[in-house]
Parts: sequence; structure tokens; C-alpha cells
Amino acid sequence: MNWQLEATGQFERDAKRYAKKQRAEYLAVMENLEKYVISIDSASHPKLVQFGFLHEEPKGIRAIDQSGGALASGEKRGKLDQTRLYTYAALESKVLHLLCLGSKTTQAKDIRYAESVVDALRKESGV
Amino acid sequence: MKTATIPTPATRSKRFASVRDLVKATATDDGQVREFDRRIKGAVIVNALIRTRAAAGMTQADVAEKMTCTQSAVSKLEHATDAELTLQDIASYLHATGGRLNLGIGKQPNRVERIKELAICLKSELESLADLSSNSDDPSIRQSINGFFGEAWFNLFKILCDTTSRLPKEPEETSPLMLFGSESACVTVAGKAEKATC
Repeated sequence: MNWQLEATGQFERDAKRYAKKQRAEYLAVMENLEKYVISIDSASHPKLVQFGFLHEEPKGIRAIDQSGGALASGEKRGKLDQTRLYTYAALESKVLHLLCLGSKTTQAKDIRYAESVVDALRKESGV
Repeated sequence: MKTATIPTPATRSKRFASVRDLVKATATDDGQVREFDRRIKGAVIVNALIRTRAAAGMTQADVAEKMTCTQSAVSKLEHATDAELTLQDIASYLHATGGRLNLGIGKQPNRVERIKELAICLKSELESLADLSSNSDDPSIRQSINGFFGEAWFNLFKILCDTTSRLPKEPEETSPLMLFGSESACVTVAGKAEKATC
């Protein structure tokens, strides 16, 4: 069974805001999310999946950023603003929770919010 | 802005089967969805390569070590488009991750030729498995391989019976099954495929 994605209302609002205001960052982070999802579908455990755009945060939260490195041709990609998409992989249900999406400046607040959602999810599932 | 309320299951919204569905639900216009599709379609081979690394439980650094290149070179390769990859990149990456590369060059085989090719592959794999069973000292390995042969025999025979029963009914003299000869048990069973206890 493949991993399902579940987005919080907050994430949906954030994503729609990014799609409207920061199109390039939105697409870059979605492209990286796609790479992450296909990888956890193939891996025996999400923790084994490693990418340069993945960042470990507290409580098992992983943040996906917008980075994509240089192109293989050597050409540089356009400069994108720092963006973080916060995820939490619930092993027992095989659901990848998409918690929120924000910039470097909202990082601390975003992480606090992501942690509170993970606490609620863990409480609900009794983990 | 992030809400101050403690999230509950009710604050969760929708499930999405794929990232594309998510993009479709949050993009401002069709142009964004098309751009996302263009990027994903342009990286089908790249993403297949990434899958082999994930399945092998390897990091980019592990792959880099086997490819004798830097981790950033592997990262670049994983962010490239299919058009930017060389055959050498693909072969080296797959060699490092233990992935498989099948490359066919030549005239497109017809169905009969494809079935013959598959039959040759099947024979070769079954022979390897039979050799493994014969050379194994472990009774559990022998038992599971022997069991698998029984299962494979049943399934292959059933496939032949089921597909043969879909052939148009012909007078016996012109039936392709007669090629096997009337004495053959195969003909007897296949000719009465609907009643056969496969």
C-alpha cells in the first residue's frame, strides 16, 4: 500500500497562499515533496530516506525545502526564497501528514505549530 | 498565519492520493498544474532511479562512494531532468544501487515473439531456482522452492486453460490444439477448458 497524504487546513491555506504569491517556491517544494513521497513508497522505513532538501526537526517532523541544487548541465537555477514544508510520517497508518508551509522568517512559529499537531496526532493514535 | 488553537482531528482536512492531486487542489490556475505535470513527466527516469536508491536504503553519499563521485554530483543527478541524463549516468547509478537496467534496441517484437522471449526467461529462472533447491542443504529452502514450483505449475496451466477457452470455437480438424496430437493430455484438458479442473 502506498503512502497517503493528509493535509491540515492550515497547510491547505499556506499552500494556496504560496501558489498565489510565490509560484516558483510553491512548485519547487511540491516537486521535492513528489521525490520524497516516491522514495518513502519504495523504502522500508521513511527514516532511511535522505535528501539534501530534507531537514530533521523535533518529534519526528521532517521539513522539505525548496532547494534543487544546480542543474546537471551546470546552469544555475533561479534564486528562490527559503521555504519549508513540514511533514510527519505516521508509520502505523502509512499517512504522510502535511502540517504547514512557511518561510525562514516564520520557521520558529511553524515548528511550534507542527509540533502541536504531531502531539494531537500521537494522542489520538495512542503513540 | 498559524492559529493558536490546539489542533484536533477536526482541524485535519483532506486526504490526497498523490502530490498531483494536492497541487490540483491548491494551485491557483491550470497553468501551475501543467507546469507541475511537465516537471514530473520530464523526470520519469530520474524518479525511477531515486526509487532504486530508496529501496536499497542508501543515502546519496553511499551512492556517490560506489559511483566514485561526490555526494553533490548525485544530488545534481537526482534533480536533473531525463533529457539531461546520459546513459552512463543511468548505468553507473543503477550499478551503485543494485537496480536493473533493461534496454531493448531493435524491431518491436510481435506478441508471439514476446511470449517466446518470456518463455525463455521463465525457463531460465525456473532452472536457476531448481538448481538452488538441488544444491541447498537447508530443507526449508528446498521445501519452499518445491512448493513454489507446484504453485507456478498450477498458475501457468490455469493461464493457458483460461486463455485457450477464449479462442473461437473451431472444428477439431482445424483447431490449433490439434498440433499437439490427439494423444496429448494437454489437448484433452485444454479442449475442455471450461470443465477442466485446473
